[in-house]
Amino acid sequence: MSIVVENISKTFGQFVALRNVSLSVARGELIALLGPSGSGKTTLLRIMAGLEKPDPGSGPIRFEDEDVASRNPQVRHVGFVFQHYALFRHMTVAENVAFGLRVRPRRLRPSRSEIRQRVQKLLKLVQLDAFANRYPSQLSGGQRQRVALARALAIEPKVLLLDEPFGALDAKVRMELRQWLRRLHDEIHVTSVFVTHDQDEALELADRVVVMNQGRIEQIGTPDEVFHSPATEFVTTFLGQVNLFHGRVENGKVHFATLAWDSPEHAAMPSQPVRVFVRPHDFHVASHRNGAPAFRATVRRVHSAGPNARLELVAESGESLWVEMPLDVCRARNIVQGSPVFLTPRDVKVFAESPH
Amino acid sequence: MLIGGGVPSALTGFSASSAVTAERPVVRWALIGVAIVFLGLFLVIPLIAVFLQAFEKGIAAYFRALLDPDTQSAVRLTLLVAAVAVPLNTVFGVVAAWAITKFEFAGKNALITLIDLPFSISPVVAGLVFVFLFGRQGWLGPWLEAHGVRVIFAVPGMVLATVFVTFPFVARELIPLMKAQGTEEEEAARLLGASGWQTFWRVTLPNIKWGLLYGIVLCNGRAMGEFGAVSVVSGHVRGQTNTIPLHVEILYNEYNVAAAFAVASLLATLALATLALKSLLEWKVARQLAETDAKP
Amino acid sequence: MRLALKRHGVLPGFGLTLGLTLSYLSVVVLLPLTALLLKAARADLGQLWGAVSDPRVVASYRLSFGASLAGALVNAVFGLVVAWVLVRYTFPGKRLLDALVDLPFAMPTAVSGITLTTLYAPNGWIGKWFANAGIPVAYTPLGVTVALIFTGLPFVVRTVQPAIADLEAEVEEAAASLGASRWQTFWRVILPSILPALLTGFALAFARGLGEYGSVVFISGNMPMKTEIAPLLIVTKLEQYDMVGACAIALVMLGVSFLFLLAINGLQWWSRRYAMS
Repeated sequence: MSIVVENISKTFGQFVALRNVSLSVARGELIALLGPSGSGKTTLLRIMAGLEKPDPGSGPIRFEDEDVASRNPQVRHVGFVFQHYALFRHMTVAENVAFGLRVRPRRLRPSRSEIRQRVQKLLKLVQLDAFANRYPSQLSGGQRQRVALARALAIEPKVLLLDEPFGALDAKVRMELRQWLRRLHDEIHVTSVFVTHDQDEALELADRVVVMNQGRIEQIGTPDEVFHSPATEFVTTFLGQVNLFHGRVENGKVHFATLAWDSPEHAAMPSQPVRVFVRPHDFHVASHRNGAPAFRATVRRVHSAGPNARLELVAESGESLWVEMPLDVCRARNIVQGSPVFLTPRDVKVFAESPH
Repeated sequence: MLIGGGVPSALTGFSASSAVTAERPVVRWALIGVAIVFLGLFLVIPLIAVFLQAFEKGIAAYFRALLDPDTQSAVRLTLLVAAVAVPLNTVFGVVAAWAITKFEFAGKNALITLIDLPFSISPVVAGLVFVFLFGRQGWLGPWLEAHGVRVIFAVPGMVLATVFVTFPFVARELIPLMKAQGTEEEEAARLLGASGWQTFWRVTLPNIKWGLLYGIVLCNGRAMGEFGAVSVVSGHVRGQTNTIPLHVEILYNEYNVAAAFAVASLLATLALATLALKSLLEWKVARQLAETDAKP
Repeated sequence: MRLALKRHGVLPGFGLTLGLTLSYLSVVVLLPLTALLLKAARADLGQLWGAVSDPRVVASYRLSFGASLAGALVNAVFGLVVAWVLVRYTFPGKRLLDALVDLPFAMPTAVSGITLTTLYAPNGWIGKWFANAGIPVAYTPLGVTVALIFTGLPFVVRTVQPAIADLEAEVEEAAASLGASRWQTFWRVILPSILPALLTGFALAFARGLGEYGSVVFISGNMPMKTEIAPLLIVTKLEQYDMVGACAIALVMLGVSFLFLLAINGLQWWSRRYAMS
């Protein structure tokens, strides 16, 4: 089922959680809402579920063609996985999963044996069939997470919403569950939206990523698009590491760090101060000037533990910066502490200096 | 106020093993000694005394006192009063705790303070306000008299006074418990299609059952044992408006000390049962709260 | 106008439960209290003042106040020791003693009253030792104090216990590593952090003592000007059909209860001032 929300705003007292947010999710898609805490991502998710009501004047919330904005959450048929799972602690795993079926009105309720079969099938799907009679307190975090997912899937939701699904787990379990969830999604193909503040999680798992900041959507795109073609300065700095230079745009050239960088795409930009971002791996590092446009820097330290060497540098113009390069290349060129090097950016992002 | 909110010793587990945070053995045993003597003098000896005094004139006299018709009618009235007051305040406690812990609204703290109010009012004043409300010279008294309804110096007044003094017990046990448990489980139930009632019966109630029972036990103990408030509105009509505590007073004032203690031993047994149940339930509630806190 | 700013839109029953709560609260608690205020409002001011300033009534305030203060002070000292011992040490019978601390709370006041009177009477188990030493306990202000120590004990212990349990071992270890003796650590680190709880317990015991009736009337002896407590005078006035007199004393007691309620709320607010979330 597709989801469309239009012009949603939400305020809590003085705090503005969402400002005029619009988003559409295609059928069967897996979407990540990514942003720092307070960016409004969880509020947006809770509004889709019906757990919060948008401010008056907000637009519709459409599931397929139907506006559900005024519908109660229990008739929206959304599967919701809470950050801390919200498992019923007085019920066993199987009872938790069966809950949504057992509370149906009698005429819609499956028979006891049918419920048992459905529960079993779901527990197998989340690989917990051996734990059916345990209580939530007897499970590990990752297992609780999977129970929460099975419980949400039991009502055959048309939409699956997950709030920081891996937020409360340790790093190793996170990785495993992440891959598992992707495979599960490919298998059952239910339209899914999950909230995360972890960029790796969003970029690895989602079909499309919605980057949010201060109640607004900054960019919507595939992981490739948001990472390589960030639309705003916020997206550039939020996804991955970047080096910042203060420079100017003049006549189609970007001036920064003693460099005048030809940038046809900024030809139309009026002359003004700009902020220039270059990712650490987007530099070509040479030991000698070789004719390419480059600026000079001195190596302060070399961190060589890992597949890439990470160089801590000071540019001639005074900026500190990080550069990443393959370790073997670094060794072959004999780059060590104190070496002078010449840096040629491969890709730069330029944004007008904000007025403040 | 947090009377009754004892800390089960099993759960506080302060490790005094570290040498720098432990007192010297002399100091430790001296403190333990002081505590035991103090508690012995003020708690243990009085408790033992109740039962020894009750049997002072022998077992036969003990049971004669209990089987006396006046005692019997006092027991019946006490049970009646509790049977009205406890369910009323139980329902109220659950309803109030739901409103207070599941929703945000202005004036919530003021409401909690008002619910606690009967605790800070002297039982005698609690009885008196009902005399002023329903008594012959009271606000509604003349109207009631014209309709032949008697509240003061009669059973209805005693029930009302008891409802007043036991008013906060259930609510104040549930409010902190339900606050700590939050609303996520209820939200999950709603999203899975449960109706409001289903959510309450299947999710909320099982989660609060020990805390609820604990509140009911405390409420019942006070309802059956209340003296001051009930005394003011009762009129002391023997065999008609005597509850057990009032009957104890009458027997004692008639210098029938052994019989007074025999009847008092019923209430002391009730108090001991309340304490035992309380310890058990407190332990269960603490465990439930610990599970709530142990978020992975 | 909407009364509330509802946040959890999903959970049902807000209007119903809040409505029921407010109605029941009004009928059971607020309406009767209003009856008292209404009674006072209708009475003659001079008559009210005469009732509260009557020497016999003033003597009863003095006794209630003095005995409650003394009882609460004794409880503050010994209650702290009991709470400390119950939280920090292990010894045989500890759990039983811990459970017994609530006895004064669970025991009907009339039973406590006749038991303490029997024990502390000049021929009682405990009273005779005092009588031999020339100190009568029952039927004196000292007897009233004894009864109020009994009733106030759980308030101090149960308020201080969690505060001691919440103390972090690390803080005490830090104090020790900085060179503080155990006594210095107690005096400068532990006591200041449990002081709000101790004061709260003290205030609760004090307030309870002022209004206490059942456990005191038997042991006090009820001699006018000497051993009459304020709540007893209300009952006496009522029995003499002196409604205005009863109303006046009740108003004073209600006012004092409110002051204590404010003080206790303030103390609890104060005790949270260093709380780290």
